[in-house]
Amino acid sequence: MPEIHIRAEEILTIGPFPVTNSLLASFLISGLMVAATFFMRKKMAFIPGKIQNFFEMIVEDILKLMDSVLTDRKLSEKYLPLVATIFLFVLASNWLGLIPGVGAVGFKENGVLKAFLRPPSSDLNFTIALAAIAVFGVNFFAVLALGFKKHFSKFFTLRNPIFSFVGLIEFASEFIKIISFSFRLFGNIFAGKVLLLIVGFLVPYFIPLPFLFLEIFIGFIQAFIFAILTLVFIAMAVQPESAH
Amino acid sequence: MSELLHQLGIDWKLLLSQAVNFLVLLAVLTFFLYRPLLRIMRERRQKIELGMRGAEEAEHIIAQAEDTKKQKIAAAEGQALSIISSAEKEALKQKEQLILEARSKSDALLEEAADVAERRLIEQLSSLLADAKQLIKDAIVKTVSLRPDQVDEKLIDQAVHQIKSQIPNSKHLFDV
Repeated sequence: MPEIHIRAEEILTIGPFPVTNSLLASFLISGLMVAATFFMRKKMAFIPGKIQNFFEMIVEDILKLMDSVLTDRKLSEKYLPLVATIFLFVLASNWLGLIPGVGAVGFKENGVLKAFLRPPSSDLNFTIALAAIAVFGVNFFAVLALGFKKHFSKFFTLRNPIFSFVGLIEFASEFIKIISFSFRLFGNIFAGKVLLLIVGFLVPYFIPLPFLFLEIFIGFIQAFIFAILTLVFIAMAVQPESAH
Repeated sequence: MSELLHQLGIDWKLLLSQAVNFLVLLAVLTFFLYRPLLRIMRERRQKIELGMRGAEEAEHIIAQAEDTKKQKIAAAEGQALSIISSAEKEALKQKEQLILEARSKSDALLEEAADVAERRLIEQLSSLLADAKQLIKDAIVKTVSLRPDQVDEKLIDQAVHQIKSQIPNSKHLFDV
């Protein structure tokens, strides 16, 4: 029986850097995405083929969604890379755990199975790193849009004691955002992984099927939430203080 | 705290690796996927817009050409009608002119013919008169040779006068 660990299992070390199964999965996913990108790039043409059409459809849908928040296509195109990459990467890492064999193929160490791959979003390192990038990205875009002084005057101001206090809370909330982002994603995907494992052991064969569908849905929703929250935070941050 | 982080499996090296991995992916996707894709999509949208605008313009031009065609046809029809009517008028005028000319020519011809006939008549008459005069003279001579005292110029004149009153246009006789 496999053991359930909150930590990702370390499967090898490269120099001083440990490589866990979730990190390996991250590399695998980004490798596949990079390969797909270069494959696409070769075939990219003014008149799109089937694959390009599919990608364009995804990008167009994401842009439409972003338009509804940002209300400007130019802004949508500007922030598309961060939001879309977060969405696609999180989606891929959520769904990776649902592919049969991903959590089952590995090696035994001290009688405990260590899987080669583990969905990256069920590892806090991945979710915290992503959340930190998202939050820093939000602040980076805000600085680009408003200027360093103007953006940080939202957090640190001496205009009036209430604003100063609220600003400090806002500043703290930026860090809390990282925690809420990362633990939400981690909790959902890790719980899903545990749920599938337990259901699979308790009532194997047909009963886990609805749970699998549920996990597919949750994987999508979590990726969507992560990306949409990043987008909303960007939309709020790039606006001047009066609208904040 | 470090125990908690350890229990949760949080390791700054792993965190950094994950972050770098994501940033690399973000950079690759941005420069090799999103930007070219967005550029192509933008170009395509522009081209489609251009095509739509071109089509609209072409439609407009076609409509204009149709209008011009109709106008030109209408103008040409009007012109043709006016040309025909003016030609008819001209023909009528020429016809009248020709008739007038012909009439005047025929009148002149008739007049000339009448003149010629009259002149011929006068010539005949004058020769006749001359003959008559000669005859009378001869007769008078004959008569005078018989009885010269009875011969009188006055008588001769009287005879001539009588002849003249009996012939029309006798006034010319004296001019000849």
